[in-house]
Amino acid sequence: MNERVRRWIEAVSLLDRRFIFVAIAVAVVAPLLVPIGLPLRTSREAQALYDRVESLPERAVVVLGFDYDPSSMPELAPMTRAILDHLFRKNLRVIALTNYAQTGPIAERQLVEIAARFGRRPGVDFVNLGYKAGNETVILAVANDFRSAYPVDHRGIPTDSLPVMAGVHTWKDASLLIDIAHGATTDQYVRIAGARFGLPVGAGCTAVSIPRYYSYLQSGQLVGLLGGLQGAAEYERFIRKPGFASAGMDAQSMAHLAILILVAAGNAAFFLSRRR
Amino acid sequence: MPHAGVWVAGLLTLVIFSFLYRDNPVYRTIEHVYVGISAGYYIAVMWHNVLVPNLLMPLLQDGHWVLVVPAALSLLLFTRFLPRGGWLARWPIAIYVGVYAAINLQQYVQGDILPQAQATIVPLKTFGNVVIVAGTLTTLSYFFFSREHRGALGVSARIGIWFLMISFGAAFGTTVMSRMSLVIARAYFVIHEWLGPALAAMR
Amino acid sequence: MKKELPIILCVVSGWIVLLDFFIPKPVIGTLSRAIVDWTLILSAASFVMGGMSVFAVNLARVRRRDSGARYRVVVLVCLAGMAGLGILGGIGEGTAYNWIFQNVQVPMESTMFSLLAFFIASAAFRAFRMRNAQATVLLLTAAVVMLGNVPLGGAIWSGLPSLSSWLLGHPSLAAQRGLIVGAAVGATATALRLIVGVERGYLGLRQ
Repeated sequence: MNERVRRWIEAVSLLDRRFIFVAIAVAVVAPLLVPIGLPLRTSREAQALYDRVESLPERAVVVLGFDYDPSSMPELAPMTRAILDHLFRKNLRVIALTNYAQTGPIAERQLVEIAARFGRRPGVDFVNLGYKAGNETVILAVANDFRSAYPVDHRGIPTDSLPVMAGVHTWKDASLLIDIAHGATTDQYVRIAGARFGLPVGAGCTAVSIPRYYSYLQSGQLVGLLGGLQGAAEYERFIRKPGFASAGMDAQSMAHLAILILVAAGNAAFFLSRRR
Repeated sequence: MPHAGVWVAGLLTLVIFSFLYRDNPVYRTIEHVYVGISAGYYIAVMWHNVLVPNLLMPLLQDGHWVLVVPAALSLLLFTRFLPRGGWLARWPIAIYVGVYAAINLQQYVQGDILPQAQATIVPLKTFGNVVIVAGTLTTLSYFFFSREHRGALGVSARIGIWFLMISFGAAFGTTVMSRMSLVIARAYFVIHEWLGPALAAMR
Repeated sequence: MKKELPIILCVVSGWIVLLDFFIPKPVIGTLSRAIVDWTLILSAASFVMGGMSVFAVNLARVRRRDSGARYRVVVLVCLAGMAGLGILGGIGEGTAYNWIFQNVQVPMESTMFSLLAFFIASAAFRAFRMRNAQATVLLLTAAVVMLGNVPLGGAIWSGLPSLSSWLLGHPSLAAQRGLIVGAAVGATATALRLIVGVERGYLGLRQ
């Protein structure tokens, strides 16, 4: 028995990392090929964001921050699509902008594709203002007028000539800002557009940022929050359109289980070797 | 059959994953392609999205001559590439730093310190509220380095560590969640957008 | 000139933007808005400078024929090619630049970052040990959050999602709030030092 334990400890401590990689790959791929269908629960903070959008009157202005790049698209693009679906279905005016240089074209594709489902037109029902460098300075410039930071939109059309921008000049003319972000831009919007100019701010964040934003939720500085792929799956459920996020949740569950099993095995070997 | 772009994306995905087996020249080449394309991408985006609409067009077409100032300051940034005169780049950097200092001074006090402190002043009627108040104060005391962590401050700081450990544990859990989502998306792409449709088209 | 003027520029521009917040006078407002708009342009110019800096560093390495020079050539060609395509041919839908971005850059970046998942798993297996009470709390919290935030957690035990939510919404929140307020106090103090001209580290000079 002792010999078997010794060999097991040795095997665990010498395990090639590529076996671990294969274990993770299997945990991810298998549920994508053969879905398990684990039931999804929804959270209060995701429900709060959905309810806030639901409560807006037709043609109200929602600013949507596309503040992510390809490194976090898997988590944030699905929730953006679900939120856009909701915004366009409700016939809200959408002003999209980004603080990430790579996201102008990503935003354009998503906006055009989802707007088309509801017959919403560029320049009339939505605008992609695209990218500007400067983060906080851009937020402050918009406090003066959207037009001073964004003289033209992503397509090069003068912002002032767009019907969707009629009567929309500063943060005060918007009803809600939803920042889908993988970095600190949500914090900046909360601190400047929210605290200084009184605009309600909701957020979609990568799972990494979830712990941080609970603090802003409790203080009321965020009106709602979607966290990671789970948050995206929750919103897909609210709008009754399951997409990639919903399909990925089984894989997410199995990958977490695989990691916990690996950590448990590592700890078991650690305690057994210490006892010996 | 998936279009050419999907095939390119799929093959690149496999090449990058080959690094998990071992480092190899193909991966290395692709890694450097990525660095080059990203840097080139930024230059073109800045040109079309900011420098042309916010500087050149208003300056040259609409005659906003005051924009000569930021134009000159922007050019000064590039003096860093000159063997002499690199110190001139400090001027635009100084303005940049001054503006951000002013913005930070407002945004952190108005947006973080005051509302977060206010949200911590809650009635201690529930266990949860007690945890929030005690946790915030003890965590802050842990980061108070102006006095030695002894006596009451020492006890408070030691309690603060436990709250930090819970938060770091939660952060680890959510970080794993994030990273796994990235793999899931790549696997989903390979299975459902690239190889799956390609195989179906071949049949 | 080399030392004093940048400090004056920093202090003056900072005070104009700050005063705009406290004194709503049109003169200050106009000046402040102009400086903020200029900063936006400076940000973009600094990105361009960064890109050119990458080019210059790699070019120097190629000229010196350092190890890996052929990979540096790849960087140079891709950088110049992508920037040239974008500036000359445009960046909108239907351009070559956009095609390369959507089909080369996006999948490459997504996949590069997804590699982290495998390394985080390997690192957790080798290093995540319950060596003492604090490490045990850390690990247990991680386990609850990892299970509680996905459907599997609720399937194992219906209380897990609530427990995860409580941990995130109370003890973890408290620590995060301590971090947020602590960082905000630090950032405010640094900003104050900058705006009165005491902090000069950004000039790269000795204090």
